[in-house]
Amino acid sequence: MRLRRRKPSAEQITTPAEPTPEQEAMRQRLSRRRFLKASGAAGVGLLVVCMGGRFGLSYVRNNAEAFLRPLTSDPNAWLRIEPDGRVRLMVNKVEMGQGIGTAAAQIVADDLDVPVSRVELVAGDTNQVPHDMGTAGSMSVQQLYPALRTAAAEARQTLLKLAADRSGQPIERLTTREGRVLLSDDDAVSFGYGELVAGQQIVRVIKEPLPNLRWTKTASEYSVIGQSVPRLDIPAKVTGQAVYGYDVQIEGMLHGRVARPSVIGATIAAVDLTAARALPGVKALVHEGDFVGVVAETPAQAATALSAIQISWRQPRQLMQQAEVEALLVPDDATVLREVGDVRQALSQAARRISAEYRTGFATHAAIEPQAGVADVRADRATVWAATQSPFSLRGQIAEITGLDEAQVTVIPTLLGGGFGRKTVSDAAYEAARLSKAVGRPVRVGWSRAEEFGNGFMRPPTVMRFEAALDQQGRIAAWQQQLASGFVLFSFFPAFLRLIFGSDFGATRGAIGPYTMPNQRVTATITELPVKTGAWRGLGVGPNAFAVEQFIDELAVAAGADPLQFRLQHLGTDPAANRMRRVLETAARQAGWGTPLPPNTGRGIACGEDAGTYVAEVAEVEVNRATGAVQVKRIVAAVDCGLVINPNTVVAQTEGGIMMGLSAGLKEEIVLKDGSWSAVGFGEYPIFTIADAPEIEVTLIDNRETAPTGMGEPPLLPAAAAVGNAIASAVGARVRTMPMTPERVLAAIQRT
Amino acid sequence: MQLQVNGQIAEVTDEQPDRLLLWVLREELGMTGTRFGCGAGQCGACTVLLDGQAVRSCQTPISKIGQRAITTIEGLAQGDTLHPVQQAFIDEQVPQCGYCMSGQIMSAAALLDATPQPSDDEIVAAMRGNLCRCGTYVRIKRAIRRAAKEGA
Repeated sequence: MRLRRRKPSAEQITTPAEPTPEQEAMRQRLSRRRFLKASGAAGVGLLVVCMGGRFGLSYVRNNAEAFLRPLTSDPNAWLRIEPDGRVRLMVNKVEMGQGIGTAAAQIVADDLDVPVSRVELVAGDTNQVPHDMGTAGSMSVQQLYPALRTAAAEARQTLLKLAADRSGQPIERLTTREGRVLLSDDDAVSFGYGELVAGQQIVRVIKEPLPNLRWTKTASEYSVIGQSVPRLDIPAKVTGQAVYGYDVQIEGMLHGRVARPSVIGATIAAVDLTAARALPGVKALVHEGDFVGVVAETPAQAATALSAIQISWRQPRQLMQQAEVEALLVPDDATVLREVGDVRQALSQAARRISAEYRTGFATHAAIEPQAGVADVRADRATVWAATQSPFSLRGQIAEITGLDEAQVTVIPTLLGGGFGRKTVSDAAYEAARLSKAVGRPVRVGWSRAEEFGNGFMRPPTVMRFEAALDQQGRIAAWQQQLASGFVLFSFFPAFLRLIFGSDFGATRGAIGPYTMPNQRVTATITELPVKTGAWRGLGVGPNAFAVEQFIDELAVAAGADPLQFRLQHLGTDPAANRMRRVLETAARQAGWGTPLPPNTGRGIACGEDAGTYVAEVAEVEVNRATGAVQVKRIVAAVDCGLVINPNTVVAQTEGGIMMGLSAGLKEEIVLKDGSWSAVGFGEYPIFTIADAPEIEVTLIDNRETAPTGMGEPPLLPAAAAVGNAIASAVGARVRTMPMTPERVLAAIQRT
Repeated sequence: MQLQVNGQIAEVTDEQPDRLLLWVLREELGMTGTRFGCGAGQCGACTVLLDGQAVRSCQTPISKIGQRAITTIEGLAQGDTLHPVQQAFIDEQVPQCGYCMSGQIMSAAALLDATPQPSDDEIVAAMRGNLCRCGTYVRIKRAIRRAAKEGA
């Protein structure tokens, strides 16, 4: 039998459905609301733009809108109960490995009293799902949990009323179980949800803010929440059937490539398209300002044609160098993040002062799936397929570049082969839309790995300076901390938003540790660098905790104290401090803190809070004194994320966050040299492999009375610092630059 | 030119025989289960089997394949029965984003075919060329050990 080319199956590629009347009404409501918002803040959204180029302009404006818009709580937007009893759940967070769809199904299943197997996830497009700010910031479960529980509870109440009407029974006598409404004490009355709603069109609207509606169940009554329900997205991921952005194939699509600057900051002086135009399969060549792109019938033809385009680049006067960019990071106290007591006086009176400076470099996201997008732009509508973390934001950008109204644009998010913040900006989809508009056919743009390394935005470098003093009892008397960093979130905010927030809270995230001291001053100076920097998983938490959680260890060592005890001594007595205490003690106990270890092996502990989640990690490492190589043998983590929806998923997120934190802590660095980034492939930017992976043990704290908090990023926070502390414990050498490469570890050992 | 893919004959054009297997699979045959990650043989996402050996399809020109049997992720299961590695990856809930998983599974299948009871060192040696950015390595190891036990 001959194998023929497969067409994309209907289940794999969703084409946008015609909007239902309710969806159309919601869309109009949202359009009206946006109009009201814009007119209420006339002109404010159109001020000075921070990024150059049209792409930067539209992303900035649209991301700000997406960020400010509230989450809808219309349950019909969330849930649809079908006549056959299926519960269709509109998921507006994208799936990038965090299992949010399964968690959402579990939440609904419990409060609606349906088996989880009856919940069907609709990973919908922007026409189908409620508006969303984007899947980022460890916010998904925090946002979905109250909205879905309210929606499910409201739906259940509606079903009870329908059953009461139908049966003539008082509603107090009715209850629900496994997708049916029954009399509490008699199975004689029993209606399936599907038959109750069949033939009707019921729309239930909940006004924002979410009302104090009694959710169906209390923490002790959950039967689905808290179970390790197998992830609904996993089977397709082991058979190859899963469709990612890079895989989307639309009938008749052409292939696009875009010319990249020769060096960062180069602009176009001249373009000669003659040779490219003559090549086979070339359908269009687009040159608009600094945008030069080609569309061809096959990817190979597009690549060949791209090389045939003669571009004369105007180089910047000076090629960008790492040292020059780092010199822009000056911790000169632009913003005070915290001030307690009088640090200057306390330091001047101190018998003993300890100071240190920590530095971290640029890092890139390195998701295994590079950027890609498919755009089909027509005169009256546009459809875009992309692995995007921000479908609604992308919709706005596509509307701008095509000149269409947002209501005419549909963004269909696919599964993501890794997000980590990079896919909040969908460059390739934007380029595909631009090219599709020019050629009048669907166009796919898929980036190469080299393009992925050279055209993203990096996690910015940081400098953290400390000066502290201990009192006679060995407690912290004064703590002065000064951070300098490049932009993290401000890169994507318009000026008015930057003014409102004051300091780039992405860059300062995790800068303030959980410790109390009588005199403390924490400041930040966040600077716009001449290269693109932005959100990398955890934002500031990794680099900031690398510094804070090692410096507290340095103080412990100076005080002759055990680092765990020293931390516990400096926690307060409020509930937050108690949660931190609990994860610290749990991780330490599980790790066998204080028990002996072989030579050149050490244990380090680190902790922190992020997105409402409390994490502590103990690292056990072995250091090779001759080479400086560090092998992480084991990480023991304790996590308090409030109510755990799916324990297996939470453990998986802990493992993954730790692995990325370790990789960044020990290996990852990309540097500027002569106007280019130092890496075009994984050979120049090694990330953790299975050979580097430690054993990881995770304990989840039972804190079910607290609403669920984020898990996408918090476990990354302490990982590198725990390893740094372990290295110091193993060989008495403190490494203050991240990544802690063998060269740097060796240099630190040689300094001792 | 004919290629044997998952037990069937695929007809592909013999113009440009230095075309890489990865793109022939994905673009001409529409089989997107074999993933593109780097195109340089450095991430392992494109791993397929040639006569049971794990190779990076992004580094394999179709002219070099000859009569050898190509197995992709789509061809690993026997009808409705998943390969022991696939089943183990579900049972251990290995995938997060899942993008590297086709390559991981193919490499693991080749390992267990050659070495049914691999040591931890052998697992690491065979799998270290398959990158996972989501950091699922702990579970990959556990799943391979499980598949070795249960598939035996």
